[in-house]
Amino acid sequence: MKPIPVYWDGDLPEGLYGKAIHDAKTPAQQRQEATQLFKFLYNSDGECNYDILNNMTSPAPFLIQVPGTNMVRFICGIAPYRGDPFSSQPISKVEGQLLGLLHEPAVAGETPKVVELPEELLNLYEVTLPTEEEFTKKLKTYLEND
Amino acid sequence: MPCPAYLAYDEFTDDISAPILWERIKVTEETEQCPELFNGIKAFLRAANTKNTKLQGSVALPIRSFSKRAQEDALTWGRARQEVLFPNLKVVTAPATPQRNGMHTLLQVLAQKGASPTSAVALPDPETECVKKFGMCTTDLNHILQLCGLNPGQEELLPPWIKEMAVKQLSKDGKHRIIRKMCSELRYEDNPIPLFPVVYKMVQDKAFGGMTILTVRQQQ
Repeated sequence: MKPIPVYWDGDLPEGLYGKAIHDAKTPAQQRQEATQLFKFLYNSDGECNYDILNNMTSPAPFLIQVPGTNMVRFICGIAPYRGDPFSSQPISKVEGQLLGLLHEPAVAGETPKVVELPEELLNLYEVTLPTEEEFTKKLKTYLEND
Repeated sequence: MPCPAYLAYDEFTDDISAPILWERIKVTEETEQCPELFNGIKAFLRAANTKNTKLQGSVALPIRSFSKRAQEDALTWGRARQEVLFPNLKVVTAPATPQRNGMHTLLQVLAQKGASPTSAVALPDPETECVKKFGMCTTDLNHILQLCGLNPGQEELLPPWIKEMAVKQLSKDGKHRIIRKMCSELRYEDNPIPLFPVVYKMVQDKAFGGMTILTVRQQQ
């Protein structure tokens, strides 16, 4: 039986993370989860307790911009690092830092690449950006000239 | 920016151009169902496609975040985090002897479970599922969500001990072990939680609704 196409262009995911999310959650569930996270992070007037993200047991992908390009990619499992407060070891250098899983592993069991995210991500700030109309116009012009 | 993965499953492996993803969102009908989220994602993508000065701000991450080698603690965290988020990605070793996967085995499994091979699969009752998963009914769950500053539907963000305590065959000692572990992971170091029997009982019964210590003692 031909698999039901769910990915936007009809293809099924090939990577391990993509497959796992596709098997575990329907697009509607993924939308609902992302909406709730969005509301949790953006409607709390910057007074959000990020430690709650450590309790999440679903990947909850976030979009990040690849530095120096107009490309974006997914990062998942974002949460602040919290070491054991009773450990006799010295406090970790990454204590309280926001971490995320950047690349999906090629094979199951492989250590994922972890990215240490900057503290600026914990604060909301305004950014100048084109309006929807300006952006559409710019894209059309770009495609016509290309 | 939180984003549903189905829009670009392969972005976990490869980067994707911001205008392409913007266009995908633009053509999907779901935008109308969750306007707040999708407007946020589209704005993020427009910003990612715009070169701004430092004064105008930017959504770009500093390049050092990507090029920097992760600390050992961060890698350990990554392995543990991956195991929690993707439990199926653990290394699975092949069984020493090949398994019989014929119809006979299937019938045996069904017989053990007391189900008929021809019986229809019943849809799970949400109330039963809630009790099974969290050890409480939906009304109590909504109250606990409220106490944790969460809204209905944000169950994934609840503290993990709630699910751990809901395991059906968990002994009293096991429950106490979970409570001890929970109380040892302090959020505020100068506020240790004293583990009196009353505290154990309160957490075990999830009775956070104003019952005083005196009342509990009187009951005992």
